[in-house]
Amino acid sequence: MKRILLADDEEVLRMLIVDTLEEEGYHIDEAEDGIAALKLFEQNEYDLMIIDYMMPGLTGLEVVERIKEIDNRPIKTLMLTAKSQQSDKEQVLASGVDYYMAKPFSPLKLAELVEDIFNV
Amino acid sequence: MVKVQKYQEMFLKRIYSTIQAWKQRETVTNSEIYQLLHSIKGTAKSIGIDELTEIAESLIKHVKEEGDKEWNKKEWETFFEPVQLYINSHKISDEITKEEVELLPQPIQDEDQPLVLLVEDDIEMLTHFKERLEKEHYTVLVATSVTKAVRMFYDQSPDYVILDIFLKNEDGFDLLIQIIERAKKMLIPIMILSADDRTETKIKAYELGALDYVSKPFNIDEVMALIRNRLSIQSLITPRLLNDELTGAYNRKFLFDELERQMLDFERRQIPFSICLLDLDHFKKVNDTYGHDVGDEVLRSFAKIVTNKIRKNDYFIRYGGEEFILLMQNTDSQAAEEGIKRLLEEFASYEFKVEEDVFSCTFSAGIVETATNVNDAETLIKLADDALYFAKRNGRNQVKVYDGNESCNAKKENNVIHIGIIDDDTVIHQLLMDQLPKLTFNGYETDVKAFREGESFFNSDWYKQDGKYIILLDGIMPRMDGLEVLKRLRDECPVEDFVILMLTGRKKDQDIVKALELGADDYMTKPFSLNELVARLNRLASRLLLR
Repeated sequence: MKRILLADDEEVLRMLIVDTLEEEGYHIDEAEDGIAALKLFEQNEYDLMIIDYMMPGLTGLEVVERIKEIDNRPIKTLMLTAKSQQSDKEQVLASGVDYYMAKPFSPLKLAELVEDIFNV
Repeated sequence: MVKVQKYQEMFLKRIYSTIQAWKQRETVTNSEIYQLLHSIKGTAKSIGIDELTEIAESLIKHVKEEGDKEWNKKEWETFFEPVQLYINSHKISDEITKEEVELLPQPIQDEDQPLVLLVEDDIEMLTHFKERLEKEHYTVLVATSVTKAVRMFYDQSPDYVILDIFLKNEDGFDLLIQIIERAKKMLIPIMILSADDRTETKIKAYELGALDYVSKPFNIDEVMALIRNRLSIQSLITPRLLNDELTGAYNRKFLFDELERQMLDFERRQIPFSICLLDLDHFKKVNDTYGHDVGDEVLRSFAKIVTNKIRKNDYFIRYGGEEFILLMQNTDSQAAEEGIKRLLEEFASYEFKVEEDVFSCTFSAGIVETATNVNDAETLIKLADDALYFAKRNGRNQVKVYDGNESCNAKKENNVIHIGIIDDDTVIHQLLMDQLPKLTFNGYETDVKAFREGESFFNSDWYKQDGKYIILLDGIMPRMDGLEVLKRLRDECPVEDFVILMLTGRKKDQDIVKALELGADDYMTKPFSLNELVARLNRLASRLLLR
């Protein structure tokens, strides 16, 4: 079973994503900010991290950087970004994030993207 | 795929509670507003609330532009109106439990929509009714128990109450009894809903004071029409009974009732409230320079500026010619002072235009907070008055909070206030001639003289000497009518030296308004008690000395 780490400060959105992806048969752990995400990352193994670009405290990009420092485990990263931050797309991909998805997104599309990620 | 409805509810609830929390504060920072809108933008569409996303998107453009701004309540409430309207029109799901209903943050009140208190513990009936009411642009408060309903009634002042008599564990009549006195005073219609069709129950409800009795099952369209009808009648009557015609502020009748209630409440709950006495500065000069029409316009504008700034449970009352009282619930003197300071600024910067001229006006204010050692309304007002006096003497256009030192500042010169009584009523003559000379006002002694009618007054030389005068003038007299005397007094005597108090048996607002227009400073309706009169004279004397 694939394991996913989710980090987003919006509670309702987390619930939506967790429910959506659990239905698809994945295991998900949630974190409400960067620090919590890093803690979980250290304690467990994950195949994919879905992380929000803008969070209070550590931003999504900072978390991704730290992850690379901690370990070179082959974890894939998917970043959720606000539409207005499309211009940062390059910066996002350049800093080592593998995939991104703009908010607001349709849960269906997210599930599809995750499936594609694991099929690569 | 997942059902998004529960996310929608959760999300909307979260926005609700954020906005509710903001309402408790003075200001909201720009970044908080930005964050909320940003979060809505990012989440709403994903859970199926497209409309809200669009609203957030259009609003967020304006937020970026404003930078470090601190938004005050009126500003962000107006700004967020589209969001609030959206939330108000959202349906509650059928699965909601009783606890959830009560925990639901109370709806944001749109000041123009009538506020309905719905007391019902049958969830299906409640949600159905609430939805329909909201569709027709009412704001609905919901209570499922008598205790909660009573608290809501007194805290939120609904315009209409719908009450189910047969609550599961309680008797709805209990609630009716607890709220009926105030409901009658404020003319709040109460509708009883009941599965009980018996005549005795109906009679009981009517005798207790309910306006309408509707048996279940009922036709919702019919009931909605009835509610509309009752509210429209109420909106016609209330202004006439409770409001001052000129300014729309509440009148004194209302003031003393409300003060009494507040003081009782304070005894029980110890939550402070503040009384602010507001008095326009140099108002006589405005009337004399530009005429009474302009003076009226100044009063109206003042009332409008104040009522726009105050909160729902604050009361604005016209107390005298150019004197007003602001009653602020749940407010200590410090907070009241801040509020008044803002009002001072706003009013002082308001420009009145008369043909070629432009002028502005200011006011002075005295504030007093309820305290445990003050038991009656008159004393409280007197203390606020002392503070007001201080503000006036200290230069006007300012506010002073009563702190116990003001009375020491009163002048103690050996001067005299002349009190003239023009009234044909022998009883009044005797009473006043007996009692008044014994009193001193603000340290001044009195010289009291009585006349039976206007002619003998004007024929005498008594009023022609230099000095300060308070004239007690009867409205109805044989020969020269009170209003005529008033007019002549104003024509002949220097305005700064003469304060005129009309005594009138007339309860018609028109005549009172007329007297104030012609230049009376204050009026009292007979019969009145001596204490009342003395208290009033005290205040008029202070005013006299301030001019």
